[in-house]
Amino acid sequence: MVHRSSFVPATAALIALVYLLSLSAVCEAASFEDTRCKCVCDKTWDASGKETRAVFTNTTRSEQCDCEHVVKPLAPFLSCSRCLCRTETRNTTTIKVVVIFIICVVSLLFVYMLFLLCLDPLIQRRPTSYQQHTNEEVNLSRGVPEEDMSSGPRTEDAAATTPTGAGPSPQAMSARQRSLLNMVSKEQKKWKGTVQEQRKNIYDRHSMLN
Amino acid sequence: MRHRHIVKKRMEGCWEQVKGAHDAWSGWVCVLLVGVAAGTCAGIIDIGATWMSDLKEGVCLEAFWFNKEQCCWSGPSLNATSLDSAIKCKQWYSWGQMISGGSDAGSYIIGYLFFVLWALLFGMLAAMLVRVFAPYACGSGIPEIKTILSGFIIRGYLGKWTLLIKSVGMMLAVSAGLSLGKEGPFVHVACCCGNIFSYLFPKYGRNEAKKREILSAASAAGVSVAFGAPIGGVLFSLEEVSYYFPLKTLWRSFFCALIAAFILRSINPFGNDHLVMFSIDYDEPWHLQELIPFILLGALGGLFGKFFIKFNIMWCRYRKFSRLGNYPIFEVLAVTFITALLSYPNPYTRMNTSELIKLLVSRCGPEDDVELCDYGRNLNMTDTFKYSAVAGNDVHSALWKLALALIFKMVITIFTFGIKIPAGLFIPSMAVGAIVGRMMGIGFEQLIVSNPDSVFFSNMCEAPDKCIITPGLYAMVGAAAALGGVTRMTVSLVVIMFELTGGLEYIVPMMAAAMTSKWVGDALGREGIYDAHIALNGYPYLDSKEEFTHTTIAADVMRPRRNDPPLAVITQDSLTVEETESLLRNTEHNGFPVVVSRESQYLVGFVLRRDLNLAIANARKTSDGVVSNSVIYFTGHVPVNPHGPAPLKLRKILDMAPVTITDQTPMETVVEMFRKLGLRQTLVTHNGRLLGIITKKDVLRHIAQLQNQDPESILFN
Repeated sequence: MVHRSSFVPATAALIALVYLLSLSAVCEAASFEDTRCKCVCDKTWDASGKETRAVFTNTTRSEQCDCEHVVKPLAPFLSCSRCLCRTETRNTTTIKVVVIFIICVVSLLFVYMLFLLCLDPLIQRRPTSYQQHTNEEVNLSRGVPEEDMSSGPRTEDAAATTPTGAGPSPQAMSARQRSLLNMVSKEQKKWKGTVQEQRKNIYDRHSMLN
Repeated sequence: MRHRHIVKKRMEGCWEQVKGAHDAWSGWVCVLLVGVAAGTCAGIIDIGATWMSDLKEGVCLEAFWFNKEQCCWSGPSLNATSLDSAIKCKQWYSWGQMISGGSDAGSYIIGYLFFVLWALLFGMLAAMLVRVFAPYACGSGIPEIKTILSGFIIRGYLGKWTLLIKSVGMMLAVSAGLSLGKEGPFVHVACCCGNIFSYLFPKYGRNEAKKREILSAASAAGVSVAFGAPIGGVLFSLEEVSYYFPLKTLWRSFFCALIAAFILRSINPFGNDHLVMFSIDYDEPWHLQELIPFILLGALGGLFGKFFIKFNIMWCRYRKFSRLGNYPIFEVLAVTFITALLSYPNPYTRMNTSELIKLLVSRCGPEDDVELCDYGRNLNMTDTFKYSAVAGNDVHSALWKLALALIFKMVITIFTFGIKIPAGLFIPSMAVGAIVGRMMGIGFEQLIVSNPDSVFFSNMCEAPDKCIITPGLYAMVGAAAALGGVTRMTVSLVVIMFELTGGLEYIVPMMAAAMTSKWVGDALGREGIYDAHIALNGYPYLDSKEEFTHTTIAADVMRPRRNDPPLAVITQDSLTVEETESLLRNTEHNGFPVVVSRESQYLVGFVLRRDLNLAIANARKTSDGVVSNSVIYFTGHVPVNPHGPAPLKLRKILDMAPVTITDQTPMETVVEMFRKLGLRQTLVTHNGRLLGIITKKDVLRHIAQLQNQDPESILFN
């Protein structure tokens, strides 16, 4: 839930992907059902003296989930008193959506990380001077409560817009856009300062989380 | 103050009454949201982690989003008429199978290679994400949560980025096959949710003490989703994490844990209609004689706990003070590489640790074709799987592999816990205990099966070939004992274990083991792993489990000491902005007492450094006429002075009710106050005049001094 709110572009990409996949899944959905009837029987020997298998599953929903319908057609010699049948359900759609969502999040983070590590130092020629650690709570208590919640996607946007925004003439941009960009880059700078401070605590001074 | 305002307003009309009601129920709404968020995060992480860890071995070609179990969920299709027991799942392709085609040796090597490469990739990604986006996301988080709940504030520790990176990092770290679990970090994730949601409600967002109530509830939700144990979560919050736990918090924690478990259950991440992977389905009776091995397991668990804590702390200290600490990412890669390299050949270390525990605690049924279940059973008997039987050759080879896995897990976990990625240690320590337990269980089972007529065991067998000993139960008890030895939990541990496995029948064995494990552990060394890590990092944490038994008084502990410069104070109506700013620059205190005047030293209140800084900066920016020599007033009425610069009124940031004690108060009382109220400082007065201040660090220093330790060495910067 929290993830979802903090990744608007990810969600959009996700919806598109899920749609595509659900189209492609129609033709092969047969082998991945949401319900199954699983019967576990004691092992015994068939006519030729080989051990039988113990697990019988049936995913066609039309039949009832009991030994008579699941085991008997396959192994008529098995005694049904030694079988235990159970219906189990899962939700394949949830699994699909979640896994694709995770792939999106991880790849977005990866791309953004590459950007921060490689391209960002090139764009900002001058070395960034990190301001003294400002904390996010201060901002919140001064009256921008909900907005700060979405600073995740905004910093994300900054990554996408800064390189392109530097190219065309700045006059073309409306003032509103510019102020938005300013705000975004300010947010990003603040966030970077926080991370820098955390890094100093953990990796340099070793004063926390050892 | 705020509450009084609302109660007063409530008299004034219908709308205000609604507002008052909203304020009253906001606590419940907040924990509801936290529960929903924690459950959702846990569902996502569970699904992701199982999928990614199976990705190391192969892929479900037709539907890549399934893990191995889900891929083969439908089983061999209905029209497969063969009754052969060795039907393999056709949809799942291992990497070796896919690339080399079929040859056994080639596919083994390719599988090995892919296993190591995927592990390295996941490990590196986790370490890099943590380093670049949120360094605070590393580690287990429980020591820090404990410290935060005791009243210390770590800025940014519970932020949005920490939440995101911790969730993603946990999945990656678990999938890398490292010997760590995602259960401990769930507590941190849930607390992040708690912190974020508390900002939606001003009652909680603006008051650190109230926020801690939400965090207590959130940590309960964290354990609730980690183990599918809502009540265990509440007890965990009470026993292990929380500092101050009134009944109101208990009920909220209960509700929060309930909601989180409900959400997770409806996501159904494991597709088995249970909250957790390892639920057991047997309820065979246990016998009185078996208490002896259970207690023995408890003692072993305690020993393991002590051994683990000692070496882990040694290694972490080495990491902290040596050059090793400068290469965190390299260290993660090295540990991942060694783990992957050594764990692939042994099937019991190759599989996911949760799956290993599941295998060890479950009973052998007809559907299990694993080595561990190779017993010479009489298939003509009814209910043959209920009774014990003579072990076959495969069980012996499984025991060897388990012994190797045990040594490997014990050693590698010491080096893994503490590297700079999200890592918990519930699962690895439970795995160690479960391996020992299962081995002992099999041993005991074989002892009885071979002597069914002995006087000692006669009541355990209905007939010579019908003895009931369940090795899975021993594994469960062993897991509880090892976890108890490491964390020193008792009540919550037992409750977590039986909720986790569903084995209500086995409370007494687990209680016996947990208690023994705690006794043995405490006899060897008092502190659990989390307390040991708190001490290693030097967090200002007052342990509420130990009693303070010295006869010192407040005057001995308070600052300033006799030869120190006088206490930095602010007067209520004579200091200018400039003087205050220089005071702020020249001192590093986090707050300043406000007095009537320097001569009288009568106490007015207490003002925090952060508030003062903000208020001055704000005033300089916005209000007109505030210049360097404006006078700051903390009083209610400001004298009108038309000639001088405009005054700065700061009454609203002043805490008018600071906790005070007299200089003759015994330290025992003071320590108790710090613990119970979660104080950070208290002011010392004498005849109503301010004399000094005692901070939490002063108290900690004092306790360390009384225990003849070097006070400076153990303290947080």
